[in-house]
Amino acid sequence: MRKTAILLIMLGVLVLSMASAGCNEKEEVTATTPTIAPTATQPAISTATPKQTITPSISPASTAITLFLTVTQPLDGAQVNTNSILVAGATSPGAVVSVLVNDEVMVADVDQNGNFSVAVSLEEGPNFIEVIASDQHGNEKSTVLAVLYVS
Amino acid sequence: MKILRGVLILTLVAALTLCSMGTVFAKGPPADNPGKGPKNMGERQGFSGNVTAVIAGNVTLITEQGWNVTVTLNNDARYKIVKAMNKWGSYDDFIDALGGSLTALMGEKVVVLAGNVTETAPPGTFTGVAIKFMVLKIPATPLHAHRTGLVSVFNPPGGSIATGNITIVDVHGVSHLFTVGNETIYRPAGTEAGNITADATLQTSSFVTVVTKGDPKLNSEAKAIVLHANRPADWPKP
Repeated sequence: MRKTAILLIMLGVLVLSMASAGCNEKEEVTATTPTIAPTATQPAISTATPKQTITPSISPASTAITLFLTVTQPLDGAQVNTNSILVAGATSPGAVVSVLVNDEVMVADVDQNGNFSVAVSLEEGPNFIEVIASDQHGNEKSTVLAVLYVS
Repeated sequence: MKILRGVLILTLVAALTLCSMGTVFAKGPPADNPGKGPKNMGERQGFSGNVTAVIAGNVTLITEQGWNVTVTLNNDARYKIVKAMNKWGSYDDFIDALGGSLTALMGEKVVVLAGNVTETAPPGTFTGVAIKFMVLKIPATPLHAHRTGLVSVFNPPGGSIATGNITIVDVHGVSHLFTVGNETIYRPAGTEAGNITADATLQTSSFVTVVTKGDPKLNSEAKAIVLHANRPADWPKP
């Protein structure tokens, strides 16, 4: 009787270890097999190329000035589902930044480090956004991007 | 002995249950419902990319993701060409702005909001009907502009005068004249809260940046006037 019990225990341990090995094998397949197909809504934001314009220039004025403009958000080609977004980025400290969206012009807040942001309203569908930065010597940098608002 | 047998049976049942759960997790999402794609089909979708083909009223673009999207353009959609069409227009206006043919779209970057979107074979191929179609003809000159300088003349609107004007002289000594309306925004540079009062703060010899739409050479309207605290040390004296 005792021998039978020991045999049953050993059999149970063997089955348990085999089952565990089978589970691990399938988890590895899951980890290495891509299962998400491209969709129309996902990559619009995640794979859009950041619009970055960094164009140093020499001021026509007597002093050499390097004005730059970088828009960090939104990304060019981004798709959003809210009608109000923040346009933000960085420019030279002391610069003035304005944003034109759908015929409206707004002046952004620019902090001492040149970081700027302004909230803009979007209309459904494609929106064209133009950002301009200028310094006190009249140098100007601009960049444009498109954002899709889908309600 | 009965206890031992019971433990063994429970162990076996637990092992089999765990293994079957592992199998379910290992499968991942069902093959016919990857991500959100098919669930959203037929709804409104946005695409941006460059036009690769124009056949009859259908325009095909390739997106940055490598998708091929064909949208049907018809009279129900609204159209815009940046700079060429200031407002959303009709299909006829759109064709006129393109010079008479959709083939002018070849190679252009476009952004489209489409309806009735479906994915067809091969994967990554979509069709839909345009709801809004925008062509991004990036303008050689921006749609709005800045001009920075010292105020030489400032006549704010007020009373019966709906439109005033401001003239500034830039670093090169060139004068720029702008109209000033009741909707013109006055504000300090940087992040100081609130707008400034034009009458009290803005005056002759103030150092400002005027933000305007359109060509600043054409007596355009000042949309905003940003007042700087100081002018640069090397700025020409008035």
